[in-house]
Amino acid sequence: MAYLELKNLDFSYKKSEKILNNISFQIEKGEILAVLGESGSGKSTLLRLISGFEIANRGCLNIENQSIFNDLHKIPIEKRGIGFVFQDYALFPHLTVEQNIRFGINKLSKKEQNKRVEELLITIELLDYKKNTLMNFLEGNNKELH
Amino acid sequence: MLKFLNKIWTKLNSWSFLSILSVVFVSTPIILIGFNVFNPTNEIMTHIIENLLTIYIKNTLILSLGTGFFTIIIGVLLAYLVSFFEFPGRKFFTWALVLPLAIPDYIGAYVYSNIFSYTGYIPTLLRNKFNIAYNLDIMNNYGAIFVFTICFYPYVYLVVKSFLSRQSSSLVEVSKSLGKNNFEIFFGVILPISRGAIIGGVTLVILEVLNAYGLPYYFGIQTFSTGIFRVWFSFKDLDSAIKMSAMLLIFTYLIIIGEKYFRKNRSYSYSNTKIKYIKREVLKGKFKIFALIFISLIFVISFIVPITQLIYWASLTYSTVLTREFLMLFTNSLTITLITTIIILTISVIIANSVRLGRGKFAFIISKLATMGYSVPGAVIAIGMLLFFITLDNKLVPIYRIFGSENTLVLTMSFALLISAYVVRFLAISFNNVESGFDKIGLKFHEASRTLGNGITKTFWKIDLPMIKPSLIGAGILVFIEIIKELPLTLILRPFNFNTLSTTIKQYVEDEMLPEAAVPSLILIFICFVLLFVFNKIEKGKKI
Repeated sequence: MAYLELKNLDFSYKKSEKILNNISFQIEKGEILAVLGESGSGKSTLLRLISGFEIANRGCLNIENQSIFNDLHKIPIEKRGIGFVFQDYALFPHLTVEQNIRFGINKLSKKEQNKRVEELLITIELLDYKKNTLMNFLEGNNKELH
Repeated sequence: MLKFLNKIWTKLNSWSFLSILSVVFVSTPIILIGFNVFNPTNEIMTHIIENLLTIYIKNTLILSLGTGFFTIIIGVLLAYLVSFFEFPGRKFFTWALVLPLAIPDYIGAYVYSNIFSYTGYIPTLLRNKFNIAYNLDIMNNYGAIFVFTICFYPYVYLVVKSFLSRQSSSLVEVSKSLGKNNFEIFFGVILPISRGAIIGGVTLVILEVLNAYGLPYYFGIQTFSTGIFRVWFSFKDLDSAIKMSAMLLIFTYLIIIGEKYFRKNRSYSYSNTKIKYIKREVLKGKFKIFALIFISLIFVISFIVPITQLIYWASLTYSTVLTREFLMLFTNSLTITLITTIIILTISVIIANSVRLGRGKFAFIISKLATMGYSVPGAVIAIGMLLFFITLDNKLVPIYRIFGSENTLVLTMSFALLISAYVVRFLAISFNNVESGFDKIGLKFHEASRTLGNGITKTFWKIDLPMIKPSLIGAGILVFIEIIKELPLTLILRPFNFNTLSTTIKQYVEDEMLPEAAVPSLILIFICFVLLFVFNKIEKGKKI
């Protein structure tokens, strides 16, 4: 049984212009899939549909045999458990460096969160900047670069 | 069909549901006018059509076109001077020329009519010092155009200045290399490229003129707005008021359609994203003197003169005006303005967030309906709201009876009516600001938060709201200023015996107690002045 299964997916922003037409594929757990295509061919749209940022005109998605969306229902983005790395950074500028890390792991216990934050800050060598808001941190770094 | 309904259902969430509810509420009063406009015409309306309609149309047209024409001349010239030239005091004037926005047109009207009256400062000076018996009566269409112009030119100035600040210096440099002088560049390049911005600015001015009630009423000029008031206050004739509101509404929409038509194909953009912005040329000699005199004159006439006159009057009357009762109405004004501002901000955030997440045609329609109120004159909204609330009250009478109330107009006689009308009228200002705040941050932060397991509402509180805070504060300031200055809606819809700063000013003026009106006027202007200052700081992105 495939881990992720996409069946007969159609998507268009305008009725006259189909971006994705009858896309179907399966991926096994641990498998890495690279999607290649020209600019504007719908690669990002495909990922956005899987994540839930767009709604398909037709088709369905199953993960571990559980239906994520089909013609009749749709699981909200936040409940899909799908990670998404954005093309340009999407770090929250009003939060501190530490809060940015904590934001993604807020379902863990406080103790576990602290441990993970500490580990990550050490790994990326930003322990000294953990209380800086991202906005200040980036401004400071930009100045140093200049 | 089932599939279509299901698709809509999957897109619906609590945000879109609340936003649809708000938009229905906001647009109902205006739609109700449309439904009731074909009720049978009564004697009052027949009289209006036969005797007054031509006067209303003529005066409304003269005031709109006259004010539009002069605000274009003044606003565009000022915007051009501060954007393209360097001269002493330029930084000060760039900001100071906006200040007349703090003076409501009805205050400008009574100050200037008094200054030019027989006992006013200018005729007295001419009589006593120069033995010239000259009495200029400005309480007519020409005077109204003058006062409207000095109060509303900042709309054109602001829009054109903002447009010019985004233009490339190559426009001027290329023209100069082709041997054109500043005069030729202004008429040959600047004016044609600014046409869209000028039309946008002057449309705002005309909408303000159509909305104005205090000035035409005080000057005795019969316009659509004053006509609607007369029909309602003198005859309590809702049917005729609805018909007149519908006519004014058609007039307003013609203006808006005209704006869209004239702005079509009038937007220019640069193919290169690296724009070298305009480098200001230092003015010298007679041009410097001309610019300084022109700008100072406009600033003095539109701001310094009215303020000085008001300060003088206030110094004579403050001890009699500043009573416990006055403190009460001041608190009234602030309280209702603050409550309404919070309600408007909440609704506009709900609609704007839902529109940006929903996107598509449906979201577009929702955003258009939410913003339709701002172009509708206050008197029309007042009549639409009255109609809406009376209809609502009629439906709710059985419930009122259960609670033992004899009153059948519970909602109509409450603050809910006035607050709702403010919401309809000013939602667009707040919505546009909040929407531009959301546009600025885009969707990536929201989407990042959603993939990290947070729902729409949690993401809003944790991510979206903190990031749009400056736009939200800016929206709040603009809405607060508009509400505290507002007169027509407040006059028609305020509960019995409820006064605000603006209605008190009108009452004093009506009783020919002009010096007494100066104290509430100055307080009102001071509040608007401070808020405009804060808004300016926020817009510049400075921390306060």
